[in-house]
Amino acid sequence: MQRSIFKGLRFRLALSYTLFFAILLTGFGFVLRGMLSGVMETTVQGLLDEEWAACKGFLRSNGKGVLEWNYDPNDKEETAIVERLRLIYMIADDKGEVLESSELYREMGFQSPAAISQVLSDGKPSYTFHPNLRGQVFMVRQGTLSEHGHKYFVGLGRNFTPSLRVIDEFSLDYFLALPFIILTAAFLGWLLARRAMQPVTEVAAQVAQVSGSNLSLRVPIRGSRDELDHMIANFNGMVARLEDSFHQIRQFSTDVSHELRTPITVVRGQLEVALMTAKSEAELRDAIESALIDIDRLSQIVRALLNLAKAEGGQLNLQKQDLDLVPLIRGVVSELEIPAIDRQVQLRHILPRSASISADRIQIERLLYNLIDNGIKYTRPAGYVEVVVTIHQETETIQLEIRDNGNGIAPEHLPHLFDRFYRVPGLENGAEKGLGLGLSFVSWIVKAHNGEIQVSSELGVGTSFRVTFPLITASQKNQNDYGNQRESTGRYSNIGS
Amino acid sequence: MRILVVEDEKRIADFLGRGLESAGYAVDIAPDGQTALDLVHATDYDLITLDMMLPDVDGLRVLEKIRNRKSNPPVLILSARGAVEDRVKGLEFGADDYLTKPFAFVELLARVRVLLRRGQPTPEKLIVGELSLDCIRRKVTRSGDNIELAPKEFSILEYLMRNKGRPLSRTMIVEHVWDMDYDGLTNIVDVYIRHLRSKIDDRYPSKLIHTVRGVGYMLELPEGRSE
Repeated sequence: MQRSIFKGLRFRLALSYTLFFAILLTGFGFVLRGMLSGVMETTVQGLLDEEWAACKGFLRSNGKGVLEWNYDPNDKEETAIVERLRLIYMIADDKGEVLESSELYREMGFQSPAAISQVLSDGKPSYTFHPNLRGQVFMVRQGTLSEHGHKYFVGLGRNFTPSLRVIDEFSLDYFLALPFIILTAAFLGWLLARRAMQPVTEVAAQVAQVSGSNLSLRVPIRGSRDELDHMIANFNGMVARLEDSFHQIRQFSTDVSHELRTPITVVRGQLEVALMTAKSEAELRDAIESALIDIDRLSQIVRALLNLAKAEGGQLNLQKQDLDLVPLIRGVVSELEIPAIDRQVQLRHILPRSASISADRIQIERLLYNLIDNGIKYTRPAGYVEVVVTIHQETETIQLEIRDNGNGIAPEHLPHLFDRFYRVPGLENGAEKGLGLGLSFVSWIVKAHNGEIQVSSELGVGTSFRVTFPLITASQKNQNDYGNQRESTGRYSNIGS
Repeated sequence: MRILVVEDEKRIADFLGRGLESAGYAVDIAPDGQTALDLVHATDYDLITLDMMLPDVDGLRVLEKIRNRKSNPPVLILSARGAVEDRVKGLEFGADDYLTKPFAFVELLARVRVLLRRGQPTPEKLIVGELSLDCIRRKVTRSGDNIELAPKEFSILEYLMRNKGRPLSRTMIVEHVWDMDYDGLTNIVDVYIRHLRSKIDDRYPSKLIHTVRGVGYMLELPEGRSE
């Protein structure tokens, strides 16, 4: 797969990192600028407040109600202070008439009488900015001075231009430097993103090596216990499950081809040899009849395989209904009575009055046939096969046990008993050789009915198959009845094994 | 010639026995590994056909035990397992040939014939009628004329001449000359045989290379003439 660099996670990571950084730094610049002008304003305000306090000390109303600067002209220091105070100032009376002002204040213009009376009525000092014609900006403190019942407006100004220049210079420097900072951040982000994506790239390369032929390959866990490790573990689990099914399928096809080879060899060889050697029509007829038997067996294998594949592939619809095992077992046992007598095997059963489970009758019948028939086949003459059903109320289960006192199965074969095509070596002889599919079908039937199957066996003592099904409780019974009415049109297939 | 057939599937053993007997061999049948080993102990066989899946002992174990004995008859494995690794394993354990089930009986017969003549000393010069092949100098002449052959053509002719009078299947020729499993490509043999015939037979009145229906090819002097 061709990966575009602009669509890759790395690019997106680096891009979002850079964008985030750019927004953050720009915002930060504005905040910084705001803070700086705030500090500047507070500083100048503080200075103006100090000047105001000094003003109050020097401004006095004389007897005629006129404000005067009250200081000692001989005191150099006092004179300097008052001149400093009178550099940028104006004084107006409560009607807005300007009483006194300085040159610099006049340049930026006086406050309107309305603004003056507003300040006077507020009683609180306020600060405003006033530009003059030369492009300078002054901060003006507008305050009220009460003297002998008269209110006066006093405006004190201070040049704010140097402060503004500092703020502007800072802003310019900052925003000029910003693109470079962001570029550096983008570059670092790109490198960081690569670092972050490095393990992903490595894992992707290792994952790419896993294919159908080397499913045993696992991506090594990095040991960092992070999300990636979690993903690798899950991925490995997935590959393991795939490997398992691959193995099963491969084993199955090997088994199938092997199962089919023998009857085909027989058919082909018999016919060929008969053609070469037969001297009479009867001999040819024998060969053809024998070939037909093998072809029957071949189609039997194919049919059983197809059914098993259908069942395991989930294409078989079960028609579950309330099913009483007791009459069903009686029926199967009586049908198998004849082969049992043939082999001098006694068929017995120990059954409760009734034992209901929710099950597909045909499949359960098939299960019973398989297990009981197996028991008859592998039991010596004068032996017995016993079918026992017990109800366990405490676990809400029904246990169906089919046991014989036959040859038994060696422990090494027990785990494979339910595998397809598994036949216990030496147990069967030629003509009666089964297909090795019966028990795998039985195990599928049990699973499809939410049951469990166990087998125990001892050589020379006998074998016991125990199947456990969930018992139907009274409340389930009603539900099942309803369900059956609706599903009664469901289809099912016959399974021969 | 006595052949032991080791085969647990009764009906396969049956037709093998009948077929081989009709081809003129004496046949004993062993249905399992132990019987086979007992029979090998008691009798000197000229050839053994061995099934790999036996009810009691694994075919490879039987093969091993046969190989450990003094008399060492050729063993032909007949197995339902046809994977390459199974073949290699069988041959590594000392089998002389390997045939996968299902097989054509004529193929089996052809292989049996070739295996049976193995072990006899091979002359440096093979002569059939007026055709002679020098294995050392790799020269072929017919009635004194030099015949130029490509290496593969030479190998096929040598194989045919060594097994003079025995039909060889196409698969056998492919396996022998190309040293590999050439499944499905056996008509390559027909192409080479056509070339060989044009060089060896076409200009001469008596034809030596014969087609055997259902099997393959055979090199033989025409009827009525003796060597």
